[in-house]
Amino acid sequence: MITATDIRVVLNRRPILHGIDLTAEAGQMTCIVGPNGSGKTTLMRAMTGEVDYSGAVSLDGAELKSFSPAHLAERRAVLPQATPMAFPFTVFEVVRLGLTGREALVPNAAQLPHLALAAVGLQGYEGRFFQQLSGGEQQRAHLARVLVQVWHPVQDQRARWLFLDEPVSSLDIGHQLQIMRLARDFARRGGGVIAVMHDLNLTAMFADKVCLLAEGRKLADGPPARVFADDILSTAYGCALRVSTPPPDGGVFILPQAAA
Amino acid sequence: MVAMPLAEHMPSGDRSQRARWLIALLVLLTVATCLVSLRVGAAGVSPLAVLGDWLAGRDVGLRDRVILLDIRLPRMLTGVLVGASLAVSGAVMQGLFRNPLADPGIVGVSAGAGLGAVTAIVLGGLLPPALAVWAGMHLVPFAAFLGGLGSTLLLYRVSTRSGRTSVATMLLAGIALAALAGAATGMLVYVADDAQLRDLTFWGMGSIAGASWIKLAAAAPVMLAGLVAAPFLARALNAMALGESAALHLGIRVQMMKALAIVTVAASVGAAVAISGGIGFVGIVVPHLLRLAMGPDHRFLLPAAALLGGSLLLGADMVARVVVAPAELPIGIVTAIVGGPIFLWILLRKRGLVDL
Repeated sequence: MITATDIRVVLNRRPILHGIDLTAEAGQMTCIVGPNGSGKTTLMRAMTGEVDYSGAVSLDGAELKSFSPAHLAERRAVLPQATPMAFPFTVFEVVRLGLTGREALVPNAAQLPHLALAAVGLQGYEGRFFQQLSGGEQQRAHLARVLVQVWHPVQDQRARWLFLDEPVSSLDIGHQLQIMRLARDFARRGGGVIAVMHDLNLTAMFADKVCLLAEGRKLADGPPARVFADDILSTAYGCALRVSTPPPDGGVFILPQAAA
Repeated sequence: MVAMPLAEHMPSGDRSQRARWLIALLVLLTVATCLVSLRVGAAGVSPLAVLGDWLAGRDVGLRDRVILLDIRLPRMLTGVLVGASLAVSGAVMQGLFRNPLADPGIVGVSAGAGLGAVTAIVLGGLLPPALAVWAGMHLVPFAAFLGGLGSTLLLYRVSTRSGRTSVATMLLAGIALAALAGAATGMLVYVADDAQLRDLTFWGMGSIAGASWIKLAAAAPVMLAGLVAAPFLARALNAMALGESAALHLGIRVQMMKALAIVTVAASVGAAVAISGGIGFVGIVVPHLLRLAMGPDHRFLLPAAALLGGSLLLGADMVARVVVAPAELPIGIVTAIVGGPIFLWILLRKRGLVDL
């Protein structure tokens, strides 16, 4: 379990987050949504220890700041929005970086990069240069790197975590579904997933829990069916939105055309 | 699009086996260059014949022994160490700045180290005698180290914001740093006396011709320390190719590793500059060629750079000794003639990287 309590972040003397509480359970997919500039990425960066914050973030009850970088790297992997690479690494070499410092400790270290690339639909791309890939392929290659880092969702009876910052933002719809299923599968096998999402419909399909931010504050959290209500969403995004329900399975979807 | 013709030949994408073979070849090359460099010289002394005589218990002539042991051997060791230090510090610096154009000579670190060395030569006499005796022969390398450290730190501060290095800022700041260091060096030269001027002139030409056991004893420990520290940076530099926060998430102590990288660069460049003056382009050409041949994985790149840098500098030294014999060309001229065009070639091939 990851618990964030009263997270406040100030960047360049401008307050970005005004005290946010969030609890994410292992075995679940927790999605952070909200309009542009609402602080989604900043909240994730605070929870991964990338920006200074006041408040507390704990992993299984222990304060995040008490972990060493190497220990944290064992417990969670982080996929940033875009990672430009310096130097001409091959795709295989980029994915292998996920094993940094643990090549000797991981049993099938030589095979993992190939398995991870297959999982994100990039089998056969091993020998290509990372810089020659398209934006969506680069994003999936980095996802493979992150997967390699925490390949088993549970290790030593502790859940491991994936932090994904807009993992599907530059993907086509087929790969969006593939990656979201991959993330949900990671959670179903006992790991924890925290994802910053833009697409509300994908979030409604895959999230177990949604945290809706607006202007650096939490507007609502809970299961998508409860958070995605007309009035909450319209307030958050500053425009009229209407949530609908498709007949077969009863999930919610958001259709901008349907707004009054 | 950058032409990368090697891609088709490595479907697995794993170049570590190729890198291991290449390093083995480079070991052979380094050993061969070292032996040849003991052989090349104005006097016809064959190291093998001398060694044979010595092993057979025959008397080795004083002249041969002096030439071999007191002239050629320290020169050979100096060349290997300086070349290895320059190439490794280039590779470390490029990893730290995430850019293949970061070279200690180009971005003003060598100039800063040079200022340190000149300061020590000219103003060393002003030190309290007790301190001067204590510092002794280590004064010049240590001052060069401080100069290199100061300029690397300043450069990093100026050109890197939240883990991203602006290449334009880095190169321009390097020009400014080199100009400042050059101006300060000029002022020191202006106040130097005749004996100091002689020292400075020979030192500044960039040569390992004056190599001696004494100079080597002063600078070698610092260079060796830098070479020994470098492999510990390899994983961190690999991870930092993803950016600093990604490296942090991979478990790297980024701030500590950055500090170690900066000190390593300053130590290697400082000691190399103190002993040999300004020798340019080794730090940029060697890592670049190796990245083309075996990829940018620093676990292999750093040792390979040490080997290729060492043998390349020895080779350049032999050329410098031979082309205008019996006189000698400063080795810096040879490396610049070879390295300058390669630097331009990198710029032309990788325009995209410069705009990064």
